[in-house]
Amino acid sequence: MTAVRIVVDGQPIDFQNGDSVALAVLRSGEHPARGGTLCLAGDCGNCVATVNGTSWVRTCQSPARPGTVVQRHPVGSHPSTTTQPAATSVNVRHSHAAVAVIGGGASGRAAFATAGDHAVLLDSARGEEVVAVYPGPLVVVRTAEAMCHIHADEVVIATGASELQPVCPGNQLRGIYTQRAAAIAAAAGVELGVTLTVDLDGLVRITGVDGHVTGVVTRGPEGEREHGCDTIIIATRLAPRDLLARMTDDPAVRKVGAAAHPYALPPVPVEGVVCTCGFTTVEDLDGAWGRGFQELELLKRATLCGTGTCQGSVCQPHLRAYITAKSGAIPKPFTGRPAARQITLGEAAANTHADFFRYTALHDEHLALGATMDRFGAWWRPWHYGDHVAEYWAVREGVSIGDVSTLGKMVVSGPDAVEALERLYPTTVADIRPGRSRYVLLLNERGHIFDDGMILRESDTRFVLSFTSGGAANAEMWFRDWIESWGLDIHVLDRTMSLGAINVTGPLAGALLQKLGVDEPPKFLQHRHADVAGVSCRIMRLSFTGEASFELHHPIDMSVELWRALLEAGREWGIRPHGLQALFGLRLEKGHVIIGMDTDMDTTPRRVGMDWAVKMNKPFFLGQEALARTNALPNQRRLVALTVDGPAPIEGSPVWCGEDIVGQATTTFASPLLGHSVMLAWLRYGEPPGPLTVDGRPASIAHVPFYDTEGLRARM
Amino acid sequence: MPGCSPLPGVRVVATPAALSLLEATYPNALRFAPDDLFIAGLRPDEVAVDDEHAIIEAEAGFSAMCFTPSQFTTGVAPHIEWPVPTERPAFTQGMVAAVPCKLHFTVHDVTVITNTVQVRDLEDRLGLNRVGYPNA
Repeated sequence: MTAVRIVVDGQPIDFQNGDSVALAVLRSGEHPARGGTLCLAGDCGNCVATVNGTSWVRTCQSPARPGTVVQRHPVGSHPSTTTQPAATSVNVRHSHAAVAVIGGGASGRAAFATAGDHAVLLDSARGEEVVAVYPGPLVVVRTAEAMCHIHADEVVIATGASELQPVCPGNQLRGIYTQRAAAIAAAAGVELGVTLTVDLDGLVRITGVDGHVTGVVTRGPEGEREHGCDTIIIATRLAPRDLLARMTDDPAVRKVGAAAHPYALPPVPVEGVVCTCGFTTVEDLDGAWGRGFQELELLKRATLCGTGTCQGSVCQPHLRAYITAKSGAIPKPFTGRPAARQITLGEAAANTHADFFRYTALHDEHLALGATMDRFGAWWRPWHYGDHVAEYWAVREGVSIGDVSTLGKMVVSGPDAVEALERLYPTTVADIRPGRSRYVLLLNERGHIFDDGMILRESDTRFVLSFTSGGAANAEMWFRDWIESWGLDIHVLDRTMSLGAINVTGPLAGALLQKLGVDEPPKFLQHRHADVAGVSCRIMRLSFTGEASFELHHPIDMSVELWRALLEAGREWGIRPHGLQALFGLRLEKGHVIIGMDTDMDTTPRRVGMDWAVKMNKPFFLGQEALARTNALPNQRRLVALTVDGPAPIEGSPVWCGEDIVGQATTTFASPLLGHSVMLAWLRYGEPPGPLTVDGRPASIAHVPFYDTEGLRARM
Repeated sequence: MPGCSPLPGVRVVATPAALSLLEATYPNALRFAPDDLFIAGLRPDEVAVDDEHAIIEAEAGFSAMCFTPSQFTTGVAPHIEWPVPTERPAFTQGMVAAVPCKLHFTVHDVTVITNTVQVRDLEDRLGLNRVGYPNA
């Protein structure tokens, strides 16, 4: 018969059918973790080792299989994280149950028997390791096949009780077992030698030679007494195995059986290692206590006692006994933290998805044109197409197109549409005529700007609204919440992801539209429906770049066709697309703010010089009361325009006045047209007491717009 | 596993009562919300609704993929944290692999609908091959 073996620290050792790795190692005469009390029940961290490349595996719970490779952790330190195997994809299975019973013992089976048809029983003996219980409740179970997420209406924890381990000098030696562990080891044929069973109450210290137990000192009525032995067995004293229950306060999670039983605290530890996972000693506890960490959760954090592999299963009773002796009050057990068993990062991250970023219908077109894509406001957007300065000049001197499909777009319709918009926006709405549009800010109740966009009036009762790319979803919720609160009769339809939008901009933009069939492009701030290259569009005339601009809103499935037609028709004028890098510079030359980049969470219109967009004499709008109050207070800071020579300072650069920081730049741009850098910056309100510098260079306060101060080019 | 394909139709936002009448006319209508209805395969000029302020728009923003029940069980259900309905037919909405989706269950198949701009992430997360993008 061929012996079956595992490899431990490079040496093959035999194992028997049914062995755990720990038992196989013990039978070979070694200790799976080089020392410490063994429970062989998965409660402590005293048998952890690296198994098949994964560290911190409880070897007493890991079956020995032919070829299993075990590397014991280094003495006094931790295994290297750089040698861990590459993460593999781990499946997750979601299931739902009325009741999830954790624990296959007598109390668990009894609970399961009365739990009804839609109950599940989770038993670690069957390879179902519960590693976490979250509010919900949600039970996370590791199995050989997958991480199972069980969404249960009720969770019953029937995990029984664990045996207390000793805290005394010598408790890190080899040859110490709990009573149950000793029985398991003996039954498995592990040579224990001369054994001695001792009670925690009488235990003074454990003695040893070369890391192995040689005896124990106990204290009785007659005083201290030393006994020689090869193995110390700790007489059973139980504590509830309730780590999972302590992970949540969810009332749908309850304990039964021994897991719910109260227990007597062990003797107060006076010397030795308390936390065998982190090697926290009684001396460490004394030090932290002396520094004022005189509460269970504080002492836990100050000493890391209870934060190791076993999450306090071993040390918490001793820690509570320590605090009880110090304070005179018995502390409640501390909160349990997932995971109850060491899981790999792959298992922890299984089926976890990061926030996704949307792709416009033109994404592949951008890539084909050499765009560098980046993420802005929940979308992938072109940052540039290789030469942002050339893109800039295409806008200033010819014609360019930009993908603005990401802008928020909403249709509102109903008899109360005007009333709703008058309340939601600080500008007047009723006087916008059909076919016309207006730039608007959105304010919250505190009068702070949280978005901006356009209002387009289509008829007496129907409007199209636009929002920033990053603010669209929030704006929709804002609208729906308030409309419902006010009980107004108005329909709302978000079209952000249904419509594409292309901005055609530059002095030749109008000519390009005419070439593609639009006989009369709308005038500034007008809009209308028309076919462009055969694609039905809503054409909005506005200007963010400072040049004539036409936003073409169209069905998203026609974006590519329209984009290509525009590029083809503009070829003779040197058309090229522009990315955000050029766009941000173009608008900065005009002094247009970008909400969220140039503004903060508490920015009011006054601070950014946009009082003109607020009509305080309206009967009501959201934020009006707050503005009336705060506008009467002294202004503390303001957004100003600055110029410096040379390249654009890094956005966020501090603005200095002598040795003092008096503000910071929000957005910056090296203007190809002006030959110097321009920026917007927050400054303390009032005249600076001296010259300003940014990035070590003199900075001058300027007036915006930097370019086309009369605003004529946008109306060309 | 199937890939996504565009699901054009018409979107109607109107009073719940008006939409209920419309829903009764079109068995394939999907009620996204009490005031929001989608009918695949129709154009706005083919729809009449008893609400003078109704918003009726061509909807080109959705894509859909159709699964057999077994494909759904093995390929999609593991990515859903919430309980999916067991009755058929059924329509429900929620996250699939953390992407907002709408699920239409019939006796024979399950259609997963999402906004086209989110399709790439959904397909990647479900391990599906990308078979195309509108007009690409």
